[in-house]
Amino acid sequence: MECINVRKEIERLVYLDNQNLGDEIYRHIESCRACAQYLEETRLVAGKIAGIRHREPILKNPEGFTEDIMKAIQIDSKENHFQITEKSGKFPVITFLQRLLAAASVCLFLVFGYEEYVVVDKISRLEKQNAAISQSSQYRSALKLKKTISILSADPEMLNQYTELKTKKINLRTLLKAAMYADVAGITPDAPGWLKRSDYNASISPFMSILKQFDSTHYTIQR
Amino acid sequence: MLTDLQEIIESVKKGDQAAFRRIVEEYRQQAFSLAFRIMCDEEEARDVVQESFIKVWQKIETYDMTQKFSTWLYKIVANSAIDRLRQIKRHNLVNLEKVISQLDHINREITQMEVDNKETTELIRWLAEGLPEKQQIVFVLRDLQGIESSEVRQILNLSENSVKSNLYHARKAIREKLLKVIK
Repeated sequence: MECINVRKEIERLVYLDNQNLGDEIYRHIESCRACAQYLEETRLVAGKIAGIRHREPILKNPEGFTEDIMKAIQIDSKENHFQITEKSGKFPVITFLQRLLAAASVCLFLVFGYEEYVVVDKISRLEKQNAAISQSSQYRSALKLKKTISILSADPEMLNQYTELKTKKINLRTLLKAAMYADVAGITPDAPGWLKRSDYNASISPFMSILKQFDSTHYTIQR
Repeated sequence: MLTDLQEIIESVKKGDQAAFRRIVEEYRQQAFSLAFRIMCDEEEARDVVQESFIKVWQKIETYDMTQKFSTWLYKIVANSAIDRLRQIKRHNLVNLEKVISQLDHINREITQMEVDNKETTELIRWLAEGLPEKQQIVFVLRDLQGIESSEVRQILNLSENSVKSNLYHARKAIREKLLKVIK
């Protein structure tokens, strides 16, 4: 017999009240010092455990303990009786209706939940498509504008017309300013004579500077 | 030992409270020993056993007469004790009755029985300390309560190998612990 099997047997037999090990194990132990020591230690440990096993915990006041249990089961019996009486009445119908209602609400939740999901999914897809279309139309308009600008800037006649229009606009603005000054100074084309010379010069000087500005453009205003 | 146990159980199944009282009187000490050794606490063990007997009363209809009654009872007690232990660990609970009883001890002489119970508690607690829950329960049932392996298997719903392996590891750990002290 091998040491490992001998020790297993020692473990198995020694623990509960130190049962007889058998001749085969005793023969092995006589020739094996390690297993002999193992047996000695196991017996020591098993003896200690047996000592604890024999120290039976004592239940204090066992009669009172039993009475407490009996009181508890009497209360329990009354509660159970009440439950049984309830069950024999309307209870099963109510339970059935409650369960039916719960099942129906679960079904409704599933159906409407799915519908909601489908609608939300469609809306989000449409929103995505819309955003894509809007972006592409903006891009196309920008491209169109860029193309127009490049065509216009490439044509010299168009460029000239543009410059002329710009000059005309500046001249018109200058003339408007001059007219405003003249109006403030009370100068009319037909009767400036009643003004004194000094007053006339004081009023006319800003007007003249505007006219000079107008002349510097080297363009005549045509109505 | 009740010789007419089967008849008593039949009566209990019919709601006979006097018959149930006989069962409580017969098994209360064994149930208390098991709960005490698992819980390592006298007050908690009392609560667990009371709760277990109430469960026995409530579930007696489900008891299979082919099974040993003590095995069925131990199963209820062990499961209630394990549940209570887990509850205590999870919520770090303190038993109010225990605190009151400790306060009560200050004002009166402690009996020899209480000293013995306290010593046993300390010993088991020291031995089982550090063992995983399953190993601890298997050790208590097999080596301290002296229940046969086949019964331990039924009580804990474990396979034969699982009982053997848990017991082997528990004994190994306890052996090392004890030898350190003895040597």
